[in-house]
Amino acid sequence: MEAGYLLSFTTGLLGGFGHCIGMCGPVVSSYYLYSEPQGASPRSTARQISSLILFNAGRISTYSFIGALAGLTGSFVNTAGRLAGLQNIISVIAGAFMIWMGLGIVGIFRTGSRLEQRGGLILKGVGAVIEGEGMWRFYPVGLLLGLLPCGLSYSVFIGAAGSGGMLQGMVFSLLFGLGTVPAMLLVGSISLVAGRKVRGLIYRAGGIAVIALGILFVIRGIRAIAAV
Amino acid sequence: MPRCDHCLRDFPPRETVEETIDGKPLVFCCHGCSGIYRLIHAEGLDTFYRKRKWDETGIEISALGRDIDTGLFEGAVKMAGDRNEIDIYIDGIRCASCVWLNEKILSRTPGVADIRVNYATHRARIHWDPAVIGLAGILGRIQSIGYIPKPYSESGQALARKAEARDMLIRLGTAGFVSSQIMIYSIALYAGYFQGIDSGTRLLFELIAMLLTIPVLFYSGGPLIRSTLNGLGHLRFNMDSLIVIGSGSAFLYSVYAMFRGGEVYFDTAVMIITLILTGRYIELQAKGRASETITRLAALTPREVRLVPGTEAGKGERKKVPVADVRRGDFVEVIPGERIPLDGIVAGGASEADESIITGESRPVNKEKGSKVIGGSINLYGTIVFEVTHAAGETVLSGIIRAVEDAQAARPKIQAIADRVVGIFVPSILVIATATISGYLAAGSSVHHAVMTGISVLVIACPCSLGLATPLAVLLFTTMASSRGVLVKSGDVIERTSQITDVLFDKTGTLTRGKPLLRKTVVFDPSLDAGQVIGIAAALEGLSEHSIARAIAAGSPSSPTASVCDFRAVPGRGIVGAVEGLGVHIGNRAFMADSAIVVPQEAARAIADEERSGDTVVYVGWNGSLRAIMVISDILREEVPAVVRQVARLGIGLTVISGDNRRTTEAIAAAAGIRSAIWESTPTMKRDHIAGLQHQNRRIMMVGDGINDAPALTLADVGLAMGRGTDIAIESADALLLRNDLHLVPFLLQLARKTQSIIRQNIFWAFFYNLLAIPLAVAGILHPIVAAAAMAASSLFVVANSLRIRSLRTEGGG
Repeated sequence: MEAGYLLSFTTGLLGGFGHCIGMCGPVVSSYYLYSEPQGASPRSTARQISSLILFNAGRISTYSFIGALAGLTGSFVNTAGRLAGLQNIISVIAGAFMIWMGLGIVGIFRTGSRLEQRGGLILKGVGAVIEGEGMWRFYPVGLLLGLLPCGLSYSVFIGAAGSGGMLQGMVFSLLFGLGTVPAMLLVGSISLVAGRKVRGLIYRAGGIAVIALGILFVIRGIRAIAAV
Repeated sequence: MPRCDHCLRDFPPRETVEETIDGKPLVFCCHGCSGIYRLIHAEGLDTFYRKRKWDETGIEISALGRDIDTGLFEGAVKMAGDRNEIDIYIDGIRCASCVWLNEKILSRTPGVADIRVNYATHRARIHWDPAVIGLAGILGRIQSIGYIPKPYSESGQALARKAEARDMLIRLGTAGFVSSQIMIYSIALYAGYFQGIDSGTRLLFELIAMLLTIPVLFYSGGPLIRSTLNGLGHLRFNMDSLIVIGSGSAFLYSVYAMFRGGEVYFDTAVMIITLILTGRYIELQAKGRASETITRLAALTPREVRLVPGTEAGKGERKKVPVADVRRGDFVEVIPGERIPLDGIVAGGASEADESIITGESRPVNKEKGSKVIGGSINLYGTIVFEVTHAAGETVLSGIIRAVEDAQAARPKIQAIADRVVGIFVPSILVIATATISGYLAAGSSVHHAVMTGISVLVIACPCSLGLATPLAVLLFTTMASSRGVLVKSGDVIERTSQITDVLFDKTGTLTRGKPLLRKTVVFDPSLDAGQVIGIAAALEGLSEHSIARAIAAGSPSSPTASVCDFRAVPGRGIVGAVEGLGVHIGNRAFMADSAIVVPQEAARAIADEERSGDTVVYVGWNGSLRAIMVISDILREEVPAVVRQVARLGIGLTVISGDNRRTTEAIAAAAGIRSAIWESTPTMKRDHIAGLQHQNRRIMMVGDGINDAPALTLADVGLAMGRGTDIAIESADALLLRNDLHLVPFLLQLARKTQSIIRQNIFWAFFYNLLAIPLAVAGILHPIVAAAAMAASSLFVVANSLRIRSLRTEGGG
């Protein structure tokens, strides 16, 4: 499973630079983080960093929560499968799904890309929360944005379901979330550095990581079945 | 960039205004700020700078330089005895210090008798002596300390409440979402506790739970922490301090236990805060519900009106102006379908108005020259021009709005008692916890064990359900009441209503319809029938404005066809005129004598019978003989006898109190089924009667509608005003019947009794759980998991118990 965790982190890292910056970045930066009055004092820089940390903490807690729930659900399915005489069936199913979604992300065929368009309600909620006061509000903003439908995070949640248990699922998506942090901490500046094309490439690399994860899961599942 | 010492704005260095005040070098962004700083300093109010907590910069100075147009405010000035009163909105209030500064500065201003600033609404109510200081002086004073006085409008307050509710919802939502996550991890940990879990995994779960707890504690619980810190400075303890100490110690202990290998209680820490915030949010919603009613009422007033230049006849161009700019004496035009913006008297045109929203009268009311119009009602058929008698802020409608608003701040007394108990409870718990720790240490327990037991006491003591106990019940009470048509002005009405021993009814307009009606026609001339007499009388009376004449005219089923000439009214006597050639006289007995109309013996007996029951008898005669009498009476509302029975069944005494004569009052009381009647009471006598009863420890509810009831409504434990009553009656009352249906009286009494008993049960259970759990915690035998479960159970009990309020069923009243 260690390889799976590593791949999940890598997916986050690549996806973060390739995707999250483009998607969640504007939501955050357009409001507060970088719209501070010009010549901000050191104090407000500290506030910016704290806000970013809070924002990311919120996102990651949502990720790990969903991961934990997925893992828990997956473990029930697995238990049911075992009763039916199938070992680790969930791992194979999840792996297959991830390969399919990864292929979609890489751009070989169209799949879950529509997902991103269905976040209106969540964004509306974010809009309401972000108008509040104080930097702590970025935590709930992160919590909400973590729910945004996104091909990468959903692939990871499927992976979490296939990981075999609640704890595994949680760690799996937690690592994915942590992987996205470096990119998200640089929101605003990096999006200027890396152009749209470069980001597209990085995003595809993320898709390859998802495919790799899927293959890993399938192999793991089949090996478990074969071992019986 | 430098930051202004007054308004905290960052500004370009070249604009700096440097100043040394009392040897302290200071920088300001402009001369305005430095001036204001100096003023505040000179007033000895420097504390303001130490107390304030501004999150944003102050008001733009450019806005302050403007002269105030006192004209905008003059319409809002009201007379209150020999003083003037005004409500204004103070822009720029950010924190409690701003409130304090405004109150301090203004109350030190000569001529200002009294100022109260509402922090939540930013509304200030000022009383001043116009002989000493003018309005401009007061407004200038407010401006001189850096705030902008604006005419008060209801919408500003509604906005503030909405923002507060949204902020609370976000905090609660965050707490709820994160708590559910923590619960998942905690369940995993509990499962591990029972089944065994490897220490690495356990630490990971604990670490994540800890990280998740931080935002709930400091963000969601932020307001609680602030309030606790504020209270701590004055050694004051409230619910908030207990919650903060409880959840804070659960958190700190869990962090400690995480590294020492004990059990962690992060879930307890977050659940406490989540539950309390739920209670607060519900409370806010309850207030919001009432304020929604207010907003709805406020929305009835149009923002713009068509002002007619000059006087009523003015044909000049109509000018659209904001409603706040309209003064008393202005003329305003209203076209069909529009809302009438203000109170006034029709000066031209004719129409009908739908006043149901304010008076409850469902039939359209005729409006012609001289009729009164009420702001907020709808003009139905014709264009009218009316003269404004009450400008914005002093109309009947705004009187209702203001009264409701004022009362909202009041909390139920039992809640105040609960708060007081908490004030003793918290320090006691702290003492018990400390004693527990020292006790265990003295008995030779390990430090770890002693501290853990002490903290269990703190955690368990937290009466979470107490936060829910009252607000939820009050919310359900107000929702139930307003859905049936009772607008309760404040939560503390519940308690007082539940203790009522006697209900006093005003007669006219409360027990009766308040409008005389033709009840009966007795014909003495065998060649006539009642219909004919009514037809003749109605034809004549249709020309008179007298209220009795109206009753007779209204008594005719069709509009009169008979032709009338030589109509003449004799004041105090009656009317005379030729109807179809007959010289008809209608009036009182003296008028008959004057007109040489003989009243026969048998007629006199019938008349005496009618008069005995308190009704007015009108004589109709022509050609020297009496033809008929018409009996006019103010009839009892249909529902009264049923209502009286319902109230009596509750064990409550009933009395009719009226300014009318003995005969009429007794007759009405008898018809209503009320045994006790008090007649010929002046407004002060009504009040004194209530005072007398209160002296005998009776709790009085007064139901009334008129100006003459206002003193009694104020003094009564609960004043209940009929919605179509006069505005002074409405202001004096504690609750309003929006529908003129007296069934609402027993309904309110029963609802209040039920709610009150539920609040008592809730508070009892909230504390009972603690009383039971604390000794067990002190003994060290109560596992905090069990305590947390019990806590959840007690909260659930409070919720389920409160919901029982909704099940109240009463007879009638829809």
